[in-house]
Amino acid sequence: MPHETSAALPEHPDFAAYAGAAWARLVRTALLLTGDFHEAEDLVQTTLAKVYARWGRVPPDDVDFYVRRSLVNNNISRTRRRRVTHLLMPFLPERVHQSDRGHAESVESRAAITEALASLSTRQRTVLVLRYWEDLPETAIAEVLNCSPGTVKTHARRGLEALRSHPAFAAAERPHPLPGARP
Amino acid sequence: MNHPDPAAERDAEPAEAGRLREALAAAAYDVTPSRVPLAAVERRGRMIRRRRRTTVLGAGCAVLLAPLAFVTLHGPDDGGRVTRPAAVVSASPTPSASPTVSAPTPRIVDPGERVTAAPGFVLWLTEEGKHWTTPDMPELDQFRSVVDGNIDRGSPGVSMQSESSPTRAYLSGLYYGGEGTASVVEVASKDGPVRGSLLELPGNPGWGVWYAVADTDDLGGITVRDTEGRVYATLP
Repeated sequence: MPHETSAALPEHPDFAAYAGAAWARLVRTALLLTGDFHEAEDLVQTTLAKVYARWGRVPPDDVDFYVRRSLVNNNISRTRRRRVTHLLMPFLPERVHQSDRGHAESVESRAAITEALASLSTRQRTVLVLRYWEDLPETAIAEVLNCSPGTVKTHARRGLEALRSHPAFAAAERPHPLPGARP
Repeated sequence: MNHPDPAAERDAEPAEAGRLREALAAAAYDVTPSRVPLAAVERRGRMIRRRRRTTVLGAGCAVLLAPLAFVTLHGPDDGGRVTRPAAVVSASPTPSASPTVSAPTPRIVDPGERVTAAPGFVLWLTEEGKHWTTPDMPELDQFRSVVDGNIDRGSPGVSMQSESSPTRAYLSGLYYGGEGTASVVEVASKDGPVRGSLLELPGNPGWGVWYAVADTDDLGGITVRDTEGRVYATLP
């Protein structure tokens, strides 16, 4: 009779440490993939729950890759089934450590990028987020998406073309980088 | 895994790539994630693991029993006979909204009052937001806040959370910020619009919760209408 081995050790203390350290960044990545903060937290919770269920089988030296690929696949499944849809409007979250100077401009700019990203296909959007937010090289993105680097290049090129021609992205002012934002 | 240096790839990037980097970073740092809900994550993880074990055991039993069932049903002299699959119960479309003499209004519930939409699909409201459980995970209380600053209740909006199988979807969400009194909610689906129900706390708080059960997970946009039939909020 088929059975699961006892190799999985979901109570492994490293999971809590990993989840605690990765949570904020995963939510931010998920926000860029979904465009909605609540859906982003949902997506990350679902992803981490699935990872937890298989924690003992996740290669210890490849956890980030495993989690990232799980996040991306869960998001692709979510959008394919239309189980949840996106809010194409800016949200106004609580802010910390940020002055009010330039606030209106930055909110407008963020709304523009959210709207522009929503016009892309899920894979184009995923490639752009992994490339320009996660800073992954094309070969790593290809592994996450289980496709060739050439396909990644095509998605990136077409995604950038679509953004370039999108009125919201074209019209937005340059955003003001925030503390912690990478150049 | 060894990958090329991202910095080297940056040199060959198109001009708008830098601007996109800044825009993505700004959007990402615009939110303040809550603390990791570790207990909820681990609880869901344990449920997933239990379900998977059940599925594996069930599949194992099915593999063992399938030859016996085949012999029993078909018999040794069953050449050429075609076995029909069981009849598929077709999903019946829910009738769409039609003009009525008095438009429905949300059901007013007390904070914490449980509303059972379907077995295991229970919703309740507090001043902080929407709480619910779903049939797959009845022990897991899920929550969406209306006070954490991540929704703008000054503008019309509607959200959706769902748990679905190929044949059934348990749908719910928040609606807020529209003009007038919310009256009806419809979710587009391949089988036609699915009509839901609305819940609000007393005192016209400016937000409420909608819910519905659909016979398909092939779903489209959501429209909440007010008592005059106008769009209160919509999610394309």
